This record gives sequence, C-alpha cells and structure tokens, in this order.
Amino acid sequence: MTSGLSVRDLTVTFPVAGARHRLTAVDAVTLTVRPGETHGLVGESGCGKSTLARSIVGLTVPDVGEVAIGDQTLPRRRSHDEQRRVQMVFQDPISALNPRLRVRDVLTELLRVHRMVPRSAVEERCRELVAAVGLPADVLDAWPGSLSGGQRQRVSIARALALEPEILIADEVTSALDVSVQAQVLRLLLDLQARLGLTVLFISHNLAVVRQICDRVTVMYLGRIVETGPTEALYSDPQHPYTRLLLESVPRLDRVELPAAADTEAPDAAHLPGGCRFHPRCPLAAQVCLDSDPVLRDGPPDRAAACHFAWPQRTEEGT
Amino acid sequence: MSALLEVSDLSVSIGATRLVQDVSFSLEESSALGLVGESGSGKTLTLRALLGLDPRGARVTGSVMFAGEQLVGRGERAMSRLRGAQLAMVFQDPMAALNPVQRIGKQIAEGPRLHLGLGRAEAAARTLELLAKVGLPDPAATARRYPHQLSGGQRQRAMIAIALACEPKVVLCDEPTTALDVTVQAQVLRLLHSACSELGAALLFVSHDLAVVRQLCRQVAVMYAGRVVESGPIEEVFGRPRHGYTASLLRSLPDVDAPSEPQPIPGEPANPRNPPPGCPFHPRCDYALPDCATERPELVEVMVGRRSACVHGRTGLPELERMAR
Repeated sequence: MTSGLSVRDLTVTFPVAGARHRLTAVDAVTLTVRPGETHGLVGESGCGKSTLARSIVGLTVPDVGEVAIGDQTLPRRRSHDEQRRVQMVFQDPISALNPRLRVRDVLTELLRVHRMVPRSAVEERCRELVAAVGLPADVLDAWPGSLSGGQRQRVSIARALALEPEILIADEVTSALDVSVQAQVLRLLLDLQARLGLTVLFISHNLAVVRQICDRVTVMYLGRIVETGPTEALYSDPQHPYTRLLLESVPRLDRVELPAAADTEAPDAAHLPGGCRFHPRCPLAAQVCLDSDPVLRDGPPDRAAACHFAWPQRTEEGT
Repeated sequence: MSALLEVSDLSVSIGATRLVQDVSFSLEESSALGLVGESGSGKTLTLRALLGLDPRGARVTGSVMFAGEQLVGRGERAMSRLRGAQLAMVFQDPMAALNPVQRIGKQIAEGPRLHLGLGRAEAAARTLELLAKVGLPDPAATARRYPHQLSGGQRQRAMIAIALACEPKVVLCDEPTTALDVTVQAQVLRLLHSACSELGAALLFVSHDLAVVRQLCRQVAVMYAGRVVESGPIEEVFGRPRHGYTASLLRSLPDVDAPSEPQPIPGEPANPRNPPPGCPFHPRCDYALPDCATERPELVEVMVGRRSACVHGRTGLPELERMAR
C-alpha cells in the first residue's frame, strides 16, 4: 500500500555555543507529500532542508510538531516497525556505509534485526535487493571501499529498500556523483518508485535535477517554506522572489551572460531580519515586507507562496 | 604571436600509472580556457603539474612554456617565485586553502610584500583596496578577521583578492564555486570574470560543470581518462560536439528550463589505473564502431581551431538513430 507523508507545524531549534538564544533551523513547517509522488525539497545550505529530513526519519527530535505516515502520527520514540517505514539515503555514500562490513553483511544485519524474511531466505533477499538497484550479485562480497561512487550510492539505496519502507527520503543523493552517473541513479529512483509505489522526498540544491524527477516542489529559505506547487507550474511561473533568484542563478549552457543577481548572501540564521526574512535580498521589498512576516498563502489550485506580492491579480479579484 | 601559456604533451605518472597523458593546450594572453571532465579525468592533476604542485613521487614530462620560459623541471624555488606572482591560484575549498590562524589582511598582504617588495604600510593599503575590489563589506574590519568568521562566499572572495594581489598574468582556478550555493556561485563567477578582464589576466578554469565553464570561457578542452579528447571554441564544441564523450556528457545534463528525462551514460568513468584498450570511452559510447575497441584515435585537428580524438572527428558524429541500425 502506498502512503503519504505529512509534517505538521514542525519546529527544530539548536543551542548556539556561547549564547543564550537558540537557532531555529526549521520554523513551524507544514508539508504534505502525497502517496506515490516524488516531492522535491530545494533551498540553499542552512535553509533547514536536511534538518527537516532528519526529523522526519527520527534522527533529530523536533521541539514541537508531528510527523505522520498516512493517517498514523509517529510517536517521539519510534518502535522498530515505525522506524522501518521511513528510510533515508544520504549524500555521501562513503561515510554512510561502514567500511568494515561487506555489502552482504550490511544487508543481512538489517534483514535479521528487523525480521524482514525468514533466516533461510536472507541470502536470496540480498541477491534480489542488489539486483533491484541494478548491481551484479558479486557486489555482495565487495567492501564498500572497492566500489565506485555510483555503485556505493546504489548499495545505500538497496539498504534503504531492504526494510520495505513506505517513505524514502533522498538527501542530496546525487550531489557527490559525476553527471553521467547522476542520471543513472535518478533513473533508478524513478524506476523503483514506479515499481514499488514509494513516496519519495527528494532533497536537492540542484534545480535542474529536481525538475527532471519531481512531481511537486517545495522551496525553503531560512527554516521556512517560501513556495510550494506542482513542478512545471512552479518552474514556469515562480511567485516568490527567492524562487526566482534561485532559478535565475543557475548557470545555463545556452546562455553566455552571467546571471545578474544582487551581491547578497543569506543572513545568519541566528540573527534573522524582522518582517519577511527575505526582504534584505529582495528586489520587490516594500514597507509592508519590513513590517509584517508573510504567511504561506494559497494561490491557484495546489500552489502557495509566502510573499506579500504573490499572485497580485488574484488578491485584487479576492477583495 | 605565441601563446602566453603553451602546454605540450604534458604527462604525469605516479608509479607505473600514467594519470595524465600527452595533454596539450595553449592559453593566449587575456583569454579564458576551460578544462572540463569528470572525476578522475586528470584535470586537477594537469593544473597542479603545470604549477609545480604535483604530488610527491609524481613524474612530470612534456613541456609547459610560460612567457617563453620552460616550467617543467624547474626547481621549487624558481616555481615559488612565479606562483602567487604571475601565476595565481583559486582553489575549490577556501577553508582548506586559507590559513585558519592568520588574519585575512595578513594573508592578502603576503604576496605583495614578498613578490612586489612592498613595505608594510603600502601592502596594508593595497590589501584594503583589494578587499573593496572583491566586494567584501567594510574592508578594514574584514582585514582583521579570521577565515572562520567569514561566510563561504566571502572566503572565496578573499581567495580571489589573494590571487589578484600581485596582478598575475594567469589566474588558475580549480572548481572555485563547487562548494558554494547557486546564488553565491553566480556572484563569485561575475567577480572572477570582471577582475580578470580588468587586469587583462588570462583564465585557466578547471571544472566539472559545463554550464559554468560556458559562461566564463571562450575555449574549452574536454578531458577523459587522463587525455584531452576534444578542444576548440566553446560554442562550437558544445554546439556541435565531435567526440562521442562530449556529446553524451552534454546530453546527460539536466535542463532547468524545460522538462526532460535523465539521460545517463552507461557504465562508470574509466579507471585511469586500468583504462580499457582502444578509445578509453568506447565501452560507454553510443557512437562506437568495432575499431574503437582496439585503436585509439589521436587528438588531431579536424577543423580550423578544433581538435578531436574520435573516430568520427573529421566527419562529425552520426545521428544516433542511424547508429542503432
């Protein structure tokens, strides 16, 4: 059965060394990933996308907020079975795999601890898993160190699939790979999702890759969701100025001029500006942006943006 | 007119393994050349070898002529007089390249003091000028900071200030924006471009990111398994590639402006320690002919200003549908 994932009002804060205040990495985020969809989560470093992912799998305990699979809210302390249902694949397949365990041992351990199959069927299941990620059976005898980056990332995916999760969180899974191999891993993800009915949260800073494989996209900036919507609608008609800035900044093969973005960087997350937190970098910033923090507001069906100036025509129609 | 930097048949071996083989390219004054390829293609090692920064135990052969002087085989003292003065470098990870326990200002002033013989006060004034030029806020305050007190983008700006400090003839960059966020990357690229053109410095830019190279460079050399497989004016090479690898690499890039499907190149990049026989790309190549498995085409001029090491180099790559038959 395919289940969706929902995150409700999730906030995660961290202590700041030598200071009394705490840093809010994820700020009251509400996110719905529909059953069977690939949902892209994009944003620059420090925007909270990885912290959000870690709280969804249970690696980071949120201050407040809930994570639910289908209609079942996961408790703060998850049972083995609840852990099993959400699995994560990490960015760096070198540090994600224990260098002292052969691929077979990695998979066998998981299958046994979680009692996924009877003992007698473990070896066969291992073979099925490596075959499912497009690797030959002799990879089972290999040490992670002897595999290429692409092969290691496939092993990480096989490890996540071993527990037959309903939700797969892919955190920058192709960032460490060469482009030619990146496309292989993306195809594999698309293929697995179609075959297994997985719900995928695909976290990436690479907007072109997200456009290739995601059904819907959510953009984060400094711990908040600033825009969300179906991929094609969002890419062809971005409403939040930050989404536009991100898209404009991507270097393109068919464009010789360098993007003319303003020379600004995201402020320190521990010292957020008042009002809209994007206003110091925003070409549209007006007095209202200094005075009030925009909430995520619905636009056309299925879309929302946290900007005072999103969908101007609609606002006028509505009043 | 001869080129400012002329690299011919540069090879680098470590033990019995040749990691860079017969690499040749030339860089004209005030021009920009991109050296692109995937991991293990030898692009970084090429850059390091021509600066005399090749790893211990490496054997470098061939020729690197810079402003009429041979650099291969030069002693470390002679090379260190050139590096930072006429040949400046910007590396990928500014956190690793900057000295963590020295203030930014001192690190920028070091070059002008050493290479240009400036006094303390003159060098300090030059430092403030450079910090302002690379767009760092409040130069006087930034000069007193340590690297960890700057953001990633600011550290890369500081690296560029160090590189520009002695008005180099060539700026050599190794993936200078790979560690940066996309909005900051755009800023740093613009800075590099304007700084080099203002100084009249030539740019040698090593990157795996074809789109970044497209925006900065007029010439490109594509590397695979330690060799240059194709080179020429960038709009021609990227527009009508004449090597199977270049064509496949371009196709595998996702497009941010339109929906597209992932188009992988099958297999893994060739292992330089154990390259396949014949053309090193043939096992992954959609355009391969039977001969490609046994014979490796040399890099030859196939059109004016364009070189290719592909069996299809002279005729152009065939349509893939025709190949499938």
